[in-house]
Amino acid sequence: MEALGLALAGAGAGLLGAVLGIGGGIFLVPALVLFFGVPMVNAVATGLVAVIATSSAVGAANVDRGVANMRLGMVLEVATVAGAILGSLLAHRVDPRLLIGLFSAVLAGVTALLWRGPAVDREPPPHESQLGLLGGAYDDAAAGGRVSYRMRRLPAALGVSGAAGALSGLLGVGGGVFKVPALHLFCGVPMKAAAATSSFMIGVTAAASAVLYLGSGSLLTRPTALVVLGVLAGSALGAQVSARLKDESVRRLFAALTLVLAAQMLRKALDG
Amino acid sequence: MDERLVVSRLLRGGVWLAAGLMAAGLVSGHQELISWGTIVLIGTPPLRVIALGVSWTRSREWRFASVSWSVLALLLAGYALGAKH
Repeated sequence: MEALGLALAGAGAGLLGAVLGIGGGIFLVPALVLFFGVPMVNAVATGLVAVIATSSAVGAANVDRGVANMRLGMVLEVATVAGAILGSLLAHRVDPRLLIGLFSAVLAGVTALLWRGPAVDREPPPHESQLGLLGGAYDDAAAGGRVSYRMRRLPAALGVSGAAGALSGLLGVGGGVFKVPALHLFCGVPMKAAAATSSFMIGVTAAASAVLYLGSGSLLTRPTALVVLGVLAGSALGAQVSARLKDESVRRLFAALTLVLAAQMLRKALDG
Repeated sequence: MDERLVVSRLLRGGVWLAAGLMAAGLVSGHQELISWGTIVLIGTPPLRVIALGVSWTRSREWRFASVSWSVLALLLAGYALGAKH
């Protein structure tokens, strides 16, 4: 029974990763602690491994389809990994309650912006010869054909990626939750491409921290294996779901996610 | 080979090898198989960074090649810092 539960928790994380481009650690880690009695440090280690599994499984399919933008992802990874290192160095010097409170406030703002959608400049999609260095194009059946976009405001994306990396170094969560909305709202990247690029990226950030947990021996083998196998099933299902969803639906789903997270984080900040 | 094909094969291969090792470990009770699966899984993303670095270096896309090698250098710096702590 417990084995099935762990696999299902993994499947949920894989599903979220495939559709929304987040690692799912933000739900998986508390679930492991609350429902399966896994100690916090071991739950975080398993969560990181689950994020890597999601990233690789979802990434493989999205790279094939061209939805994951590898060039953009790699450029943003410079900021994310640098931020993550900085964050983990500062981890013991910052009050986590303050951070979580801030996290919650920003997420509430993100929810409102996402629900409304990108207000500015709805340009016609660029021709595929004019995507620039960091633009992309892919087939999206739910959008009725080919989707193409140019990447704008790279400095903003780099800033948010650096902050997201720092946050994941500080709190162990939150890599994808800020990058996906920022890429969509500020940079003109379609929601699905933003999610796919984010999920492609998070494996590298998580791998950087996971090595440290592996070295410290805090990885529980059996629960990790069950969660990872669940992740693979969930992400395969998620890929099917994502292909049928319209970009707007992904955006609304993401807004629902940030709303739930904002509430969860606010409660945590107040409870201490 | 197209860089997209290289990366998707690498990611898929890493995931399935890790899953196979973990499933075998669960069924047989050999914990070390699960540990090996975990190592394969954690090693896959850095390998993907290296694969893209090699691919872009060979196609002389210096801008993106240097970005990939910078990410790898940062990862290694992170490991070194983490090992010290």
